[in-house]
Amino acid sequence: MVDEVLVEALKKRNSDALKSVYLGHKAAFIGFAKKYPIDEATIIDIYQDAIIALHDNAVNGKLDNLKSELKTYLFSIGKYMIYKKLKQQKIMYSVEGNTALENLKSDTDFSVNLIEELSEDQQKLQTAFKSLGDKCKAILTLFYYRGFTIEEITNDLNYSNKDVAKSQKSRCIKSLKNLIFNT
Amino acid sequence: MTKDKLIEHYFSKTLSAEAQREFDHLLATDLKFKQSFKFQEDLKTVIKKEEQTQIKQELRSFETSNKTFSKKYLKWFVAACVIVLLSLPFWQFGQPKLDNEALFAANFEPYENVVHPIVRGETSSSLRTKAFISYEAKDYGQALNYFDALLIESDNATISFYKANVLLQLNRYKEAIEIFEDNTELSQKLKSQQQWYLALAYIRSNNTTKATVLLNTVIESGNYKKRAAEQLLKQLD
Repeated sequence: MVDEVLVEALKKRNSDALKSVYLGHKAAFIGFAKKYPIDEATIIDIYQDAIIALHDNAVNGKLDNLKSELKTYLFSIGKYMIYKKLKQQKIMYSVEGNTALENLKSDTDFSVNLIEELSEDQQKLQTAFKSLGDKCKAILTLFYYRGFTIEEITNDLNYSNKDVAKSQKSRCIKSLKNLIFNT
Repeated sequence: MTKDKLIEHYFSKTLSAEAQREFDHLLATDLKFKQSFKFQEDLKTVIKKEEQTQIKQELRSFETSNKTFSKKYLKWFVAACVIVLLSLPFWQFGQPKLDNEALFAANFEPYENVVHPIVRGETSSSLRTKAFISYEAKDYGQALNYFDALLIESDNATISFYKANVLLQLNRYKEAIEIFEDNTELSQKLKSQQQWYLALAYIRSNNTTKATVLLNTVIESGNYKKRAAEQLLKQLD
């Protein structure tokens, strides 16, 4: 129940909720991760990435019917990331091999989709997106990142009706395209 | 449905099965559609990356500037507690079972740490040591975090037993009951202890029938809390 409140708040991009989840489990996570051969700075980095993945999944509605505790879910993601890190450093090969990582992923049924590198096209798009006004950023983020329908956007951003929201979105896309092709 | 509409439904995850087929077909055959879709898919990736970068910065700022955490956290904690209270079945408030609550309070005390002796000043900092240091220091919230972390590493009946004790102390007796009931692998040495605590948890949740059965078992085994169990049994009648 408590977790549901937090998940809802995370979806709404509530900073206090993010902070409470982050700080609430940090000590335990560090304690948990210390048994692996990683230094504390890396552990914290991994923990932050795990929180980001958790946040992403909350936004995508993947935590709406969460069967485990939020904390357990977070630790599973973190554990997966630790294994991945160790594998990159080739520490785990001799010990547990690839199967441990794969098993962990299928056991826990979560997806960790952190965007690391952008393609060339995407980099251009990124520069253009950053130079958009706040209004455009808001509407595009709701539509593409949070998966809102036009109706939901109309309500959330207080547009007078669907058509207004829709043409605003089209204008933003058009500006984006102009920005890309004119640079 | 127009092509734009199809893409719109794709992003809001509201494509019907039929529309999905149309979407797939266009993606495979219509170059312009494919380009338009790819542009928007790229945009989605870019925005996601932006969000992730922003959150990362936010998390880093918690690391550097975090001294005012407790107040804000408290707000959430209180909000969460209120909701938990509201979600409890009404009858618990409608018919105050003060007697059972009082009986529980009079008899309950978290089981002492007999499994992981703490040597004061010891520098070792295994998770298990930290857990029991918090437990002995009555920092039950912290102890719970450590026990949880230990249990994520591996199932352990003894740790589960102590975790349930912490939950009882934190008044989360329903969760404690679930753990005690499932904790069948516990070593013989702690069996009676677990029955005693489960009995107390049942009393706390007004399940006197189950509590009576367990108290009788505790009395029969006779190696732990026999007299206290006998007394408690009389008080329950």
